[in-house]
Amino acid sequence: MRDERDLFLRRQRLLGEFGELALQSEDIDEVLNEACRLVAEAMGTARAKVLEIEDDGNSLLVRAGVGWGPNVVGEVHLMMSANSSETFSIREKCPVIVQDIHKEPRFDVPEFMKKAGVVALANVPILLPGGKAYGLLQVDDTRPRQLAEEDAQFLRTYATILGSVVDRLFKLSELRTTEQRFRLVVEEAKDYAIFLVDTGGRVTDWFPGAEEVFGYGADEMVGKAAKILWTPEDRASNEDEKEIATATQNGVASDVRWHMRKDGSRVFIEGSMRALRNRAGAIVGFLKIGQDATERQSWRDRQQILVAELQHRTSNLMGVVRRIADQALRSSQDLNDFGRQFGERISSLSRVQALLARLEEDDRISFDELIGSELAALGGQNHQLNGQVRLHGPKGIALRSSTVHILALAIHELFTNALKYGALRQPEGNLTISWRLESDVVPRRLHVDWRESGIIVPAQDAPPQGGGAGRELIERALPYQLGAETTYTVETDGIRCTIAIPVSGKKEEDGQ
Amino acid sequence: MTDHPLRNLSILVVEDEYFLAAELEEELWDACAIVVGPTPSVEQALELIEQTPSLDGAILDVNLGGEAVFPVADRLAAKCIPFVFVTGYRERDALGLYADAPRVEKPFLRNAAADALGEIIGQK
Repeated sequence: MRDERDLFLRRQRLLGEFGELALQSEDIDEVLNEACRLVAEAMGTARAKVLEIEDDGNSLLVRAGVGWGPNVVGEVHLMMSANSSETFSIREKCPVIVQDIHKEPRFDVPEFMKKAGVVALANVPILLPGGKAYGLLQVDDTRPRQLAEEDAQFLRTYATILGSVVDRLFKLSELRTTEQRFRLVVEEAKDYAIFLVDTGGRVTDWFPGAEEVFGYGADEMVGKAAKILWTPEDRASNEDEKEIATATQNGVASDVRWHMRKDGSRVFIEGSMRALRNRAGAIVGFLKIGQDATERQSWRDRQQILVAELQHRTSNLMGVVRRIADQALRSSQDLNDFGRQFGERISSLSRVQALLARLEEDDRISFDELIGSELAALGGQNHQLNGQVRLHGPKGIALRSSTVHILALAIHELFTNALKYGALRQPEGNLTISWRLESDVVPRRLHVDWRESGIIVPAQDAPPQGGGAGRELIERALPYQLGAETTYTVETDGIRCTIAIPVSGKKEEDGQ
Repeated sequence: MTDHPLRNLSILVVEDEYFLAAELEEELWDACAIVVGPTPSVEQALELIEQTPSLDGAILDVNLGGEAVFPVADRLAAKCIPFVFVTGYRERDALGLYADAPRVEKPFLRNAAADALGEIIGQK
């Protein structure tokens, strides 16, 4: 009786020790190995182990153990087969005791256990709360032994406690993994401002993405009202409180608007506010997630301006085209003549359009490019090669984009007239185009001097027939539309024309 | 055209594109109206309004080289002088207070602006 009482006390003490360890440790391998050591001691044997059901559900891993040689714990895998006592115990969820393996032909004993001299063994399934099997606690002995009822009861108790402990440790590690993942996601999401506020709108958690986007550190924001992230105009109309009210009512409120950064600059946020509820369904705070869409937004603004500008220019251009058609209609003798006049002027417009299309944003067409393009199109280059056309002037004087069309039309008319009636019609004629930048006036002006010479223009032939359109452009259109100062005179040896127009710097905004 | 409602009326034209201004001018001539302007700028338009006590109406391009024509519209409205806007498609959105004002969209048919203005004045 005394022996039995001692055994009982010893086992109680060991259970207590194990309980203490299980409460303190969060390391599942430490807990399982200690469980093996204690159960072996309690059972008066040298060997015990924990077999864990592997993910595939068809094999067991020796997860922990005491008394085994090398290459067993953590390494030996056992297939779960119908004739193994381990499998039987797990499937039936009941202890299986083999008192002497030589007298128990139903079960095969794994090779490594035979090698270790195991003769008797007790399998007790470890069940998780809910009844799912985690694995098996196995106590081994090298001598045949009779296991009494109290031995079996002790092992069941022990395995039950082990099941709860394993369950707790699993959940803990899962939780930790989940939390780590959550942290990683939240902290690595630098493009997203993520933070939490309480029901009063005060910041409770401020993650690195929020710091990146708004410029405030967590030390500056936690405990502060998130109101400071709102623009003064939104604060004035209580937009922040409206957002909380909407999120409270609907669970979520969209937040797509400008916000304030720490440095006072604005950041366009595309995001939302979500209500966070506890288990009872009461709102405990709000999650705010927003992406910095400032760049996207400014592109949208920019695009809108460009589209409006394009529209404006296109509708004006349509008007110009119709005006050109009207003029050609009035000055042409027949349909062929109309076709030629209209076609040439439309081509001139198209060339300008092509020049404009090649430009990068904020880039400008320069006057020499414009002259070069017109000269090339009218075959004037031959005259230039023959020395009839001389160009004098600096490269790169930038023209405001809005001025280019009408200036090109004017240049085009001048060239056309020179070819048809003026200096370029006769081999002895000369055309000198010189230009310079007048920098001493504001705004700076491009001064162009068009001079034809070396020909005799009979007075009765002047002004030439085509001169009407050119003259109107120079004398009326350029001053009206570009604020230009112009002169146009028909002198005895050809046309003399001067144009002075305000110009932009190469990279300046052109106001349109 | 002799019975055009704009006959003998003084009409201001504010349009920065020369060709369009010239065309509006011709439309008004066709209607036997007296053209005031045309002018490409707000400043000059305001001066012309002051200098023309008998101004009867106006045709206003909304976008004058990036400058909005609204100060001119404000002055005309204050003087109860009727006007129509000529606008590009997108600029309709930019009319603001004048969103409901009569307008002709560019590119417009010949005589559309003069006829639209004539209609308003004829109703008075």
